[in-house]
Amino acid sequence: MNQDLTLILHVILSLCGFVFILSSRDIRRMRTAAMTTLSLMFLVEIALPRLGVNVRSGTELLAFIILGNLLASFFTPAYLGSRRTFTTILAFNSLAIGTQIFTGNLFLVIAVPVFFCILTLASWRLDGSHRLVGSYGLITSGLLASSLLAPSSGSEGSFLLELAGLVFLIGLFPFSPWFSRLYEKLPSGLLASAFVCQVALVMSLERQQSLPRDFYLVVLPVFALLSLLMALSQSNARRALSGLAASQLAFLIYADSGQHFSDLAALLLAQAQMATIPGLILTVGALEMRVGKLNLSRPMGHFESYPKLAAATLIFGLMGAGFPLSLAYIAEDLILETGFHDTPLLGIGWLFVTALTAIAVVKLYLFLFHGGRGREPGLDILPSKLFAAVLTMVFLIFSTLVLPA
Amino acid sequence: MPNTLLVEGLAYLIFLPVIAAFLWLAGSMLLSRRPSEKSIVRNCHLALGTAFFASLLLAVAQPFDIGTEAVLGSWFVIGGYHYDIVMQTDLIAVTYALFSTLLLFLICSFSQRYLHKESGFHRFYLALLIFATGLLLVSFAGTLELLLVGWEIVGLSSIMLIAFFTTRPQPAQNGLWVFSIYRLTDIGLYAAILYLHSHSQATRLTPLDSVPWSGIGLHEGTQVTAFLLLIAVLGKSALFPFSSWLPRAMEGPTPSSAVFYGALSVHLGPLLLLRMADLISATPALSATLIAVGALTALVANLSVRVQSDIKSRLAFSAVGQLGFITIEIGLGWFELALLHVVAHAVFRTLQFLRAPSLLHDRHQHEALLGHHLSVEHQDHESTALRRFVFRLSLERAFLDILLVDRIARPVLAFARAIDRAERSAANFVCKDS
Repeated sequence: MNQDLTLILHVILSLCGFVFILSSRDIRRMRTAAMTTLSLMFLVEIALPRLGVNVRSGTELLAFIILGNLLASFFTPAYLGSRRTFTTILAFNSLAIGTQIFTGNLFLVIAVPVFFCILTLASWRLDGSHRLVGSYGLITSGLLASSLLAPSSGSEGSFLLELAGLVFLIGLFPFSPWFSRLYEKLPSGLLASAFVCQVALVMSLERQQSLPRDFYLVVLPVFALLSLLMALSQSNARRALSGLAASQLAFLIYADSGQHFSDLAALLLAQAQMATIPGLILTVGALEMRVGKLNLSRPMGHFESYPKLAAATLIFGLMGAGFPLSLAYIAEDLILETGFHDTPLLGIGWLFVTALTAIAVVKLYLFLFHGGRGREPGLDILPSKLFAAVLTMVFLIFSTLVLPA
Repeated sequence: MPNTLLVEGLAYLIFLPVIAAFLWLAGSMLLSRRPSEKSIVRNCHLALGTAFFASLLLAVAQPFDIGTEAVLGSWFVIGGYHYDIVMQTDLIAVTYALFSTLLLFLICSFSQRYLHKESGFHRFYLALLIFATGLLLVSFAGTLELLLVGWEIVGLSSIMLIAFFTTRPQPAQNGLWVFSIYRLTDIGLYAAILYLHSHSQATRLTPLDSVPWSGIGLHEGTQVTAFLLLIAVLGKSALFPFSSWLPRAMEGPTPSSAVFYGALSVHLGPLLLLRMADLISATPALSATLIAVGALTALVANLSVRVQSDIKSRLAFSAVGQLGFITIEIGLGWFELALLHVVAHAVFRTLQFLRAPSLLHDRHQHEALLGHHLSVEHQDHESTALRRFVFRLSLERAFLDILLVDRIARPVLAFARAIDRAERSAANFVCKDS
């Protein structure tokens, strides 16, 4: 009974959240309802294990899923949000929690189409983006369903289908058009929430470990490197973020396929990504709200006007890229060690991916905040939001100190 | 046992004040409570002074030919995997810590006036404290993993100092270029650690019998590890073929230039090479490579320095030249001489860098007193094909920049842009209203 307590509480809280958002006419109240629901869920996740309640195994990501979505709704200002924004965030949150509680490939076959349905609805009437997302969603769902449910499951063919489905799902090169298009069009709060959901979906896939994975493992770093190179060559900051996010998700898939420490390392990486990458997306989105479209073709120079926002962007980015002392660093260390031991050349390939990720993050920071302009009138990051960002970072740093011995 | 306790206590005393000063300054800036310039400098002096005296005590308290290992705990333990915080207090570590903290203390004092009322005053000292933490970590690291952490921290703080002036585009572009070189060459260090783990199950720096410092012990695949580490050294110390980043890093304020090219950052490469002393002695190919790289670096730097028109560029290339000579010394196995050279060069070059801005002022004052410009002798040389080639080679810094930027970075990014254009066209085709 105790084990189901978390599930029951999450379902009740989610339902209440939806009811409040849908019944409210004021955007401010919708935002408050979404944030209250997510805060209560976070408290449940943090408090229940401390109170001695046995939680279900395999739900280690729940606190981070909720934290990522909490950040997403907190950083979305009421005047820019809409009913669609907050219901979508809550829907992504419920879906991500569902993937962790109802693990297994059968559930994933349902969850992936649901994910794409939510995204299609969220991108409705945005320059026809819903068509792109819808068609990619159909292909992804078809590929993953046929690989996981087909009678020949476990063969080379199903293995290739699984790989293709995953690459579609995470929006990695060469199947990235839907992903970068959405990053250009959707509000940053929704993107952050969608990223958290993608991490949850990737983590819930039960791999077919018996298959030879050499091809699978070679293709991923090559695609990830190309995605990152595209991100580095971008003049559009949002498209650069999409390349960065996709390559991080590819690294997570690689992490999940290792032998030693693989489960724990992938779990740590997923936890780090769920808080840091949404943080980076949201801080870049916050700058865009203040100054308009962000161009990376030359340094834009907003540091003097928004120094704290600049610091938050850099720290979220570096923590996501696995800078020393962060949770992602520990995860990367474990993953690369395992990977290098198994196949050294692939390990080197992923070392290049991590290096390019760090370079892309630093480019984003330097080109958005340094060079060119003096101080302009504008509101820097609000104290409450800065406090939330600092708290998240502290949470991430200290979570490295309480790892299982 | 008491000696170990003393060493551990002193190791804490070296690190904690610097970290505490950083946390105090970062916390104050986050909370928008900007401390006064005086209190920042006072706290930095206190932290760096304590670190200096603790290092001095460490030097006095233990004989150098032993070198003690202090385990300050574990960062994390997972299964059989330990990430221990091990400090190595040997001759190299203590020497580097002593001159680093002393020079940082001086730079801290110098910057108080130099950056007085500058908008980035607080940011500069924050970066300086991060830099000091990274530098001390690299110096005392008892494992290669810990050295890597310090190495990365130094890299990041370097970028913060290069891009210090936020209202000009050039520092941001140059900062990105330097960070790219750092991060891509650091792959060598990462790969060496992974290689060591998979082949010898250990990356702890081991005490050697014949050499009065601790280094990386011989193991299976020594040559591979040595060459991987060399890649990281080439990037960090601006050795051939990566010398071109150093003049680009010139964008920061003078005190940060002193920190980089003169005194500290560029000397981390020789530190790692000194830690590799045993590997170098056992690998003739590596010794030969080091001598060749050192000679090429010294040659290119000495040619380039002759055609520089500003004092900071001249000093930067002179520093690169000296680093070339230090590398040759290490390649020849003259490790003690190399360590001495590092200390002498760091101190002398810091003096030159800190003197550079006032030197021009003094010259102008001197000329005003004399009432005429000081004469500069121009020698007319016969223009030959060889002279013209050497001049162009010097002016273009041996074409290293062209090779890295125009032949490697730009084509790769152009290819990525072409893919991106194709992707946009495909997306627009599906999305457009029918």
